[in-house]
Amino acid sequence: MPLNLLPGRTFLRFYSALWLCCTLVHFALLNKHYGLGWQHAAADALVHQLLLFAGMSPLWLVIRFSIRERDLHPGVFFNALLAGLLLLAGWFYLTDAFMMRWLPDPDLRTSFLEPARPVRLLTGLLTGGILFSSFLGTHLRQEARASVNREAELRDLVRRTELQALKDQLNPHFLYNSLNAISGLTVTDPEKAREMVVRLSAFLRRVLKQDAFQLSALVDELDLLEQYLAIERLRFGRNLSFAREVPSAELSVRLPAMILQPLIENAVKFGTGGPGSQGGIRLRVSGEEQEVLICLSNPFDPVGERFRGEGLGLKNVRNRLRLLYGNGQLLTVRVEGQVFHACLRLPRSLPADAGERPVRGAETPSDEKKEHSHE
Amino acid sequence: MNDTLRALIVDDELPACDLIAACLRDFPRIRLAGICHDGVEGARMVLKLKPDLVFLDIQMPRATGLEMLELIDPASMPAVIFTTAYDEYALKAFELNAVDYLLKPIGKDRFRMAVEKAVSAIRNGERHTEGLRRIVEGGGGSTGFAKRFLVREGEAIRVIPPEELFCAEARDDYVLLCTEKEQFLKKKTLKSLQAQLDPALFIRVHRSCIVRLDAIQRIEPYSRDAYLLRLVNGHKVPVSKQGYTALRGLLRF
Repeated sequence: MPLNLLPGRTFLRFYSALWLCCTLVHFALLNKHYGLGWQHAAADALVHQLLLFAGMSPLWLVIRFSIRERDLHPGVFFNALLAGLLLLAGWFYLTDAFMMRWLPDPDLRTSFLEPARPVRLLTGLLTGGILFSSFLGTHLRQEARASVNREAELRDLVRRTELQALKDQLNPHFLYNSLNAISGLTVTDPEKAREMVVRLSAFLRRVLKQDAFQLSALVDELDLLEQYLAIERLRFGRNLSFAREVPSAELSVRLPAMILQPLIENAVKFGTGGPGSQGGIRLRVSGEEQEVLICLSNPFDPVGERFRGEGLGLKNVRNRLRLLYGNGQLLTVRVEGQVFHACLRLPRSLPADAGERPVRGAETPSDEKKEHSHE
Repeated sequence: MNDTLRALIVDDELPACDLIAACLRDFPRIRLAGICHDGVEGARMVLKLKPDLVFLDIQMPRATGLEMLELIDPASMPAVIFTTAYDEYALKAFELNAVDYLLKPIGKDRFRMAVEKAVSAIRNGERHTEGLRRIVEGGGGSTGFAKRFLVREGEAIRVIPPEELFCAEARDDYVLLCTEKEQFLKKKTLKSLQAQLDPALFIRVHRSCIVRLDAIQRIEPYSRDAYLLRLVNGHKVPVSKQGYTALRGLLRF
């Protein structure tokens, strides 16, 4: 963030207005109350206030560069205060010397200037105090705003980085293996190759359109899962059965896009392997008043379990839930005998920032409306 | 020497196997001896068919490609071309050890290069056994503790989960893995085994011996600086002076 030397336009306006005010009051007092001729009053007011406001302005820089919001301690304040007092003393001496020398009427020097010194000093101190505190206030406010911005930026950065990581999770292995499978199918079964290209494209289209903060209807997510399973069936020649129990009332429920994908990948990966083998995956959705429960279960062989990297997908789901709902424990997993269960408990109230995030792809403006109508 | 080389394809994806088989048709001197779809079956086929060349996928059910190679003696180790979609760590290990690999999707030219390289290595009697060994020992760049150990029992292949492992002893180039009732020999160094075991559960009590902490029944003095561990299955294990110190530290006695 660039360090700006000037305190900002609003403050400059305030500063000039204050100066004008002080000058006018000064003039009026001398002219009306003390009965000073208007030339003298004007000269006195202009010289004093102009020099005062100009002389105090370096104080801004002193405050700007010495006081940091993060470590406020009395020493720093004291230094700035001292600088202010020195400037005031300088101002007092200069104006006094100037006026004593240049005041048009020499009689006035003894009858007016000399007795008025204590009053001048006092009003100078008062104005100086006002200027000091307004400098300080402006500076602190600017600093606070900058640090809020910084924090927001940082949070945003963290979030974006995490999202990138999540997106990467959409699994290069899967993509490359699928392309390789297509390449193989073109030799043995061009018809299936064509089917696989279409399915893979549909899958990718969905995936690439998603923003990780976007919500999507359960029915669309199920569609995505079916596409994925169809691809896996073609790849492994497996009879992956997928049974869904979804109350029709819950089909329109909205959930974070792609949140089920790692779960189904997990289910496919850890379900018994090898071509021709069975892997029965079940999805059960039940709605409660405050939340929706989505459970995915698959047969699981604790010993013959597959490659390392177990848990990465689930960890990512947890991370996303933490990011979106502030609670990673909305996902629970357990093994019951030979069956692995992964359950998502999603609050019906939407994640806090799902609405305010810009939705990528302007073609889905209706999505946001639906989100609200569902609450 | 027979002019025809015999190849085996190990990959859990059918179309991937078909693709390699199709590519191999351009090589009349290479005969496809078999196709199988997981690591355990792959090890069996290698032992039975003794192929010259294996196209080996890494991520597979039941046993990974690397676990599969662990089950094969160096003497009967075929030339191996790994086929993999993407695994940065593993690929680095392959390059370092001069073992060839094919990235999926597999292109024809790259396939030809890899096969020609393998064929000339086979014909010249060059074996990259040592390189393969290093890759396998390194777990192909995998980190974390092993979830299972595969051992050969004659023709059969057994899976031993770490929970069933009582102790492991170094025996020349092998380690002897002991479960409660059985013992299995596996070609592996004790050091690489130790790296795959959770140090909170397993401890090296001797230069040639690792035991599981909760398999220990009692510690008996043996000579001036040495002790003997008796395990719950009655098995006895020597403890060195250093091992004894480590044991005291872990068990706090």
